[in-house]
Amino acid sequence: MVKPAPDDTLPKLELELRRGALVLAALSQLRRAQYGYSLRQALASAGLPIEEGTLYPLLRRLESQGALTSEWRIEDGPPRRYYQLSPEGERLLANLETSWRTLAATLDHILKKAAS
Amino acid sequence: MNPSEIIDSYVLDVMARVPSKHRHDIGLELRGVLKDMLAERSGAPDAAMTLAMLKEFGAPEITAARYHQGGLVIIPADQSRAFITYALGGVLLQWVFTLPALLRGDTLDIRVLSTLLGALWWPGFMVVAAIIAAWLKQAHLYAPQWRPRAIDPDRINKTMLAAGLAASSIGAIAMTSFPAFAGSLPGVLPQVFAFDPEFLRERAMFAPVLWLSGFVLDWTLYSAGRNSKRLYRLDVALQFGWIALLTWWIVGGKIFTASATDEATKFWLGVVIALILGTLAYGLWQRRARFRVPANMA
Repeated sequence: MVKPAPDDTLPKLELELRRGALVLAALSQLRRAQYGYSLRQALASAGLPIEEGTLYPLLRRLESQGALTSEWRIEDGPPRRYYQLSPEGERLLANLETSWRTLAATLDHILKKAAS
Repeated sequence: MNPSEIIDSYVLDVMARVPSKHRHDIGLELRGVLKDMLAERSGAPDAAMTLAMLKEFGAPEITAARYHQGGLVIIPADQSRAFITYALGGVLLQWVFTLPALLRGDTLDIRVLSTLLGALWWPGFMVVAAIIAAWLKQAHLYAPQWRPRAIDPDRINKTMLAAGLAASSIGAIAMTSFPAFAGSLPGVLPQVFAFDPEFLRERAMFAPVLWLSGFVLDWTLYSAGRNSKRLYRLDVALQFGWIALLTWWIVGGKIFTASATDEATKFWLGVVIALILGTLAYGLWQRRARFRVPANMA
């Protein structure tokens, strides 16, 4: 007998799908310096909402991996940490972009073939 | 508390759990983020609104955990069940061997408590060993390599079998001739090792028959080079023969006339029976179906 999928299966699988894509999305928005909150808003307005609790550790990790640089700035408001792509991050973004496009095209092809 | 104090309290709890190197940086950034988030909400911020926002954001320990990258895995998930089994099994074994004697005393004294808790050294030792192993793996000083292992239960190790044959022959000769020379041992040993005449007359004589059968079976196995279903079944029958004989020796009367020697011998015969049963169980386990076809396909 086939076990019915629990109610939270779809959200969990969607979360897994999005997890890898979030890195690419975040990197793509950091060609110009942004602080975490403004980055989150930019992604949300582009249709990719991201939890704050996930975004900031992700930015830290990317910085520790050398993909981002950061600095504290005081502009109109409290001190904020601004993140921007490092030269290494630029290369990483270009490579990830290529990988993403290849993967998306492949998956699209597979899904179309399976549906026909 | 006002919203700002609640946020500060939350941030301090997160800071206490993140790597010390980045603690203040993370704290300052998180504080700014939370205040931005609160300001974005409609209406005048109050304590209830702040608490609701922080609840959505996640408990401090969950938020802090997101800042940790991996960390040292001491007991990998695939080993946790075996770890628990060995840890608890070791503690239980110690209790089985030590507690009954202590509990036979009139009162429960400190020795019982110390034995009860003292056995916990074993899980502690296992954890320390696991920490050292995890550290060695992380430092790339130890990288276990997978190697295929022999799973054919009928394959035999000829060298080990030859050594076993030699050892069992020497043991059989020594044991069968022991009653003859026990009487000429020095001092009180002849009394200590004096066999019960009834044992020698009625129950001992079956042992050479089983030893001889075992020798013939092992020699056949050595010559054949590998086990077969027939040889395995004969070996199982022989082992059950030994279990029956040893059980008879234990329950059928005295083996030695000296009580202390008799009791000690019977204890060790009990251990031998347990070992034979263990070997038989291991043999069955080795022969279990490794790859099972689902019931609806069989």
